[in-house]
Amino acid sequence: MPVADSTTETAGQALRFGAAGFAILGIVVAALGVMRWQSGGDRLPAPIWWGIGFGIAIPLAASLLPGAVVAALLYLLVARTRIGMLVRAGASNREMALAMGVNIRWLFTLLFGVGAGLCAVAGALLGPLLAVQVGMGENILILAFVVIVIGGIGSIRGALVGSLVVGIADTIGRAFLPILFGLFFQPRVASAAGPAIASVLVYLLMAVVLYFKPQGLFPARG
Amino acid sequence: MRRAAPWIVLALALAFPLAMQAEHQTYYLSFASRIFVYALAATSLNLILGYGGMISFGHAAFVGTGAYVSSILLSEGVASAWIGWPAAIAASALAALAIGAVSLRTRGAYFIMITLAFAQMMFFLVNSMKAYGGDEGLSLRERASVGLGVDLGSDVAFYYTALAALAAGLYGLHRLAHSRFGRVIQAIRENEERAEAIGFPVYRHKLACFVIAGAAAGLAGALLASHGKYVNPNVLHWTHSGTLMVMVILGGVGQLWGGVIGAAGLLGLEDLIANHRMEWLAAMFPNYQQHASLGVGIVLLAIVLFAPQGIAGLARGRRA
Repeated sequence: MPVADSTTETAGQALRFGAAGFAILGIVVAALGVMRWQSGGDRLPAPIWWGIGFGIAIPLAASLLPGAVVAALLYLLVARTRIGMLVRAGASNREMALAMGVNIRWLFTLLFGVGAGLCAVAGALLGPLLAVQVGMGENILILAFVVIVIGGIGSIRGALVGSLVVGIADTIGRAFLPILFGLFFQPRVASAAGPAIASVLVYLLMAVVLYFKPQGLFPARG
Repeated sequence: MRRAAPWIVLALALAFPLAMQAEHQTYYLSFASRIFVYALAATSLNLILGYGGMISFGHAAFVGTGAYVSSILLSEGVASAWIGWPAAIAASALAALAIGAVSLRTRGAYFIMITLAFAQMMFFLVNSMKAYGGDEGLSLRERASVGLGVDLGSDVAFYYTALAALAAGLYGLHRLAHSRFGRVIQAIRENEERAEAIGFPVYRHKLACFVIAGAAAGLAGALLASHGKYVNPNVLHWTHSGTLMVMVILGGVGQLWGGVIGAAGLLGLEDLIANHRMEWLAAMFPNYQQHASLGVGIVLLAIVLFAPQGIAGLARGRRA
């Protein structure tokens, strides 16, 4: 067995990590299935404290506010606290951080938990916007990947910008592309091509971004 | 013993239809063909993932391209497999060339995501092809015909065709892995900078490897469409890429037999859970059979945690 250097080792770790993630996903999906939520899906009422009185904009404002607060807290945690510093150190050079006495294994397990917790916050905010059902995470999962890849993996600023870019591009594409196509093509062609291109737009955006900036828009330093 | 093992497996596979015909069990003949087709697809993914170190999350795009090209030709009246399947292979190779040329500029997690992005694009494009079924898929009246007095419509003939394709794929991978090209690919996997410094054209080698894997996946796709006489856009969905990846990881990344063992293991396990009621398990969980993915998930988790080299790696570890 040749001594694996760090790139293959990281790739191997990422792979195993991904496989474990898949397995967990399968288990969670099946477990939810056992809970008999297979049918339809329920639209939850928004929590009472969201009713701050913005009329139609309530769900939007309600999810914007906690989202912004969490993003700000996360930025402070990673950029300004000691534990954030240790996490960044561990990410940029695992061996060195270990040698300096950081318990990387424990720290990254904790980090994984925090990530899952943040994801739960996002899920709670999305509940009233989308329908709550077993597969609701699947579409968001891929979109979340797209967001962090466009923004740059490991960059919180990038994730914020990436999510805005992806969200706006997707919405504008779905709203206006069919109309735009209608101006230039036959209605039959436009009604077929418009929605198709609109759903591809996000991925096209990602491919273009990665082609010109293979590390994403805001590459994490280190 | 080690040299004889592949021949023993081949002999068993060749004799399998005779045993099944004696027992009148045609279901398992078709099931075995399905395993062979998936094994070919997983083996092609194993070439880039295990030997080349390129973690592609968009392999279903090439399987799907092959499946759709051969199906569209069939539905347009081109029945001959001698035209349909090479066309499928060529189309998939072309798709792999285009996707690989862009994707291979990136590394690591970015490469995973950009291959996924391209696969998703193909998924949505195929989904909107109203002329060829759109999201409802495309049903074929019959399988492709190969002439020579062989009727692929019969399960036995299709079984041997799929077996031949898989055997050719495995032999090709074996030869490739031990060729100069294969050595360079594995050197690039181990250390890209070093290979570059020695003077190998890294990008071109990776791209060639990617295209070969795409072409083999295209053949698997054409066989898959012919096998079920039906193809729908889900064959390009990212979960399908995930299934192929799971097969490779389950079987053994970078092991010659990894794809085969993984495909047989995963499909076999699903079939075992769904179609064979085990009383002792049913006593504890009355309707466990409706939740096959739960069992598959647990087994996969165990494999990843306790046998990081996959099932093929377990066997190899014992011997060493």
